[in-house]
Amino acid sequence: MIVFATSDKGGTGRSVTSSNVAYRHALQGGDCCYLDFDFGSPTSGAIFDLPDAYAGVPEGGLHSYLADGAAEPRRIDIWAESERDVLRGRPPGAGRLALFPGDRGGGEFRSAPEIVERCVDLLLRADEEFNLVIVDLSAGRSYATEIVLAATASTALRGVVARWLVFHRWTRQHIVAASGLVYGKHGILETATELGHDPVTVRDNIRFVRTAVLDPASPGQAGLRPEQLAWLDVCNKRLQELASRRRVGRTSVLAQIPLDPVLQWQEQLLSNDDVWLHRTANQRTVDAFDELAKKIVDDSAWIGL
Amino acid sequence: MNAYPGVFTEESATPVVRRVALSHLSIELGHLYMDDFSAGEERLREHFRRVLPWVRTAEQACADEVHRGRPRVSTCFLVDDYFTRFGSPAEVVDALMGAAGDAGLTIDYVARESGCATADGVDLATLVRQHLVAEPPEGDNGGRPPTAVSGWLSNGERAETAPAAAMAAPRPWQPPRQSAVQNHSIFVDIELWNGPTGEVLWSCPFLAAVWQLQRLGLIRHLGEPVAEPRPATADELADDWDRMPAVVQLNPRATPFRAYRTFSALDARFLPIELAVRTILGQVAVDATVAAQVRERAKGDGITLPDEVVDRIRYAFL
Repeated sequence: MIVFATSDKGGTGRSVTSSNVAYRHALQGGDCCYLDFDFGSPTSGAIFDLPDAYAGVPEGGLHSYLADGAAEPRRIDIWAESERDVLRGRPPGAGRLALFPGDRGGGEFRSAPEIVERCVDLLLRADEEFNLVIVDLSAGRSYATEIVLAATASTALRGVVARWLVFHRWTRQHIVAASGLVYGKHGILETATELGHDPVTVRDNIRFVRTAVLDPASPGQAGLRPEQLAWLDVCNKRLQELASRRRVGRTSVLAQIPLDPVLQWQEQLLSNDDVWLHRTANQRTVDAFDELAKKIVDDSAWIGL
Repeated sequence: MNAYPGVFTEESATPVVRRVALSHLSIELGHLYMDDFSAGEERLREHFRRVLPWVRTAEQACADEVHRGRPRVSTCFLVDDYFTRFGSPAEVVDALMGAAGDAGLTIDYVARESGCATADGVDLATLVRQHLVAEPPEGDNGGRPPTAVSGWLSNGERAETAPAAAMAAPRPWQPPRQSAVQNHSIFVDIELWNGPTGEVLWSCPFLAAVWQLQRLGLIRHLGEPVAEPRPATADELADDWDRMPAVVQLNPRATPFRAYRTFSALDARFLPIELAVRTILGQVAVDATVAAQVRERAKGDGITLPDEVVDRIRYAFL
């Protein structure tokens, strides 16, 4: 199964959430790989604590493979190469966890038939080898999204399940932006249809993920004044109305990731040690990642609306 | 004389432009490559037999156009020693003269192609390159490097697909367009030279353009003509191409090498090269003083010359 992670705006927590979902999926026993298709900023190595690939690999990454036609893109085994102790060594029962990084200094490139063809090959092979393939796309209407939409429209990938997660923060601007990316002009649905996809199938395979959500009812908000809590409540209701009007409402939401202090300071994988030993991360956040990792592959969560 | 009206120059700053002797017509009897030479003397004789009727026709046409005095027609032949070296000058020129003589033709002048690149210590090709005024295509935005940098010259704008925004519908393909178009375009893009600075290899069409300018008497270096023909016989020629003068006068009674008009009898395979030559010459700014000098000389001879250099060139493609 291939999952495309995208967002209209930057800074939504798309990469950090999808990396954590990949990590959780591997911990749950599935083989998972993470493809860094954020071509303008290939920095996923930082989230996985890979010192040699903080800002992409020096050569042979996804840029070289897709744009220049280099052989076989570089892949990094997280359990073997991560610098973080907790990630070193595959935990018993866990699946494989691999990262396909971009090239250091790589930038965005336009879609072209040969690039789409290489992308088809890559996705096909990754899908055969891993239970879950997470493709982290660039934000907004990007060439990366155009390339994968063209690739998944090819006959070779027709039988492969492709799902989409659209990340957005729980704010007015982000709701409007996420809705526009999916339903708007030159959005995912329009482009997919243009490239030969069935619009209904694509729409049924898109879900939204709300990130960094401040829950007024959570115990963490104890420091807020009553006036602030009241305002938050009103604001939350207004956002819910806006979201449902924009077709980003509750029925199309797959998960809600709470605001977590650790992730505010540092994009990283949240381990159980961060919750129980160091007590820095919140259990609710880890639970949300865990649940999202399960829901992604759970067909009942993806029944057409 | 100030050739550029409205531009102030000190009279002493304008170099004196020396006149050159001019015939009415310069006939090119052919262009010799190594393949033709190595194919043997019979191939050369065959060549001259084929061009003979066209040469006679060109001579007749010239005679009909000249109303004052007798027509002055000179013949020339260009040997390629630039791209491939073969034989020795004496051997090649001797074979050429023999074959031409058998067909009833006289070669007045023989030139070597590298003499169009460098002659008498003057970098002739660079001199012409510096007179290139490449026409900018409509809507040019500098995305294509200028001819002086890239070494590529075109007669219009290339086909292209403008980059579309990501996920937007692709922009339609734009066909190429000739600048001076008449209903339908014939677009050409010509490589004038390649290689790094200092080791530039000039292209065949560019040297051929220099050759035409040379025959039309339109090249001067600091006011002096370059590669003046040197009288010699085939036996006197050196064994080394580098030591052979750029243009050799073989016939002591020949009329001047350069002429008002040129005529070239060429194999049809040279057609694309001559298209390139004409495109190049259409974008070469001939020194105004030189151009005026030649036109006035022609007027004195009772001939009205077209302003455009390319209109003074005639061909027969066989």
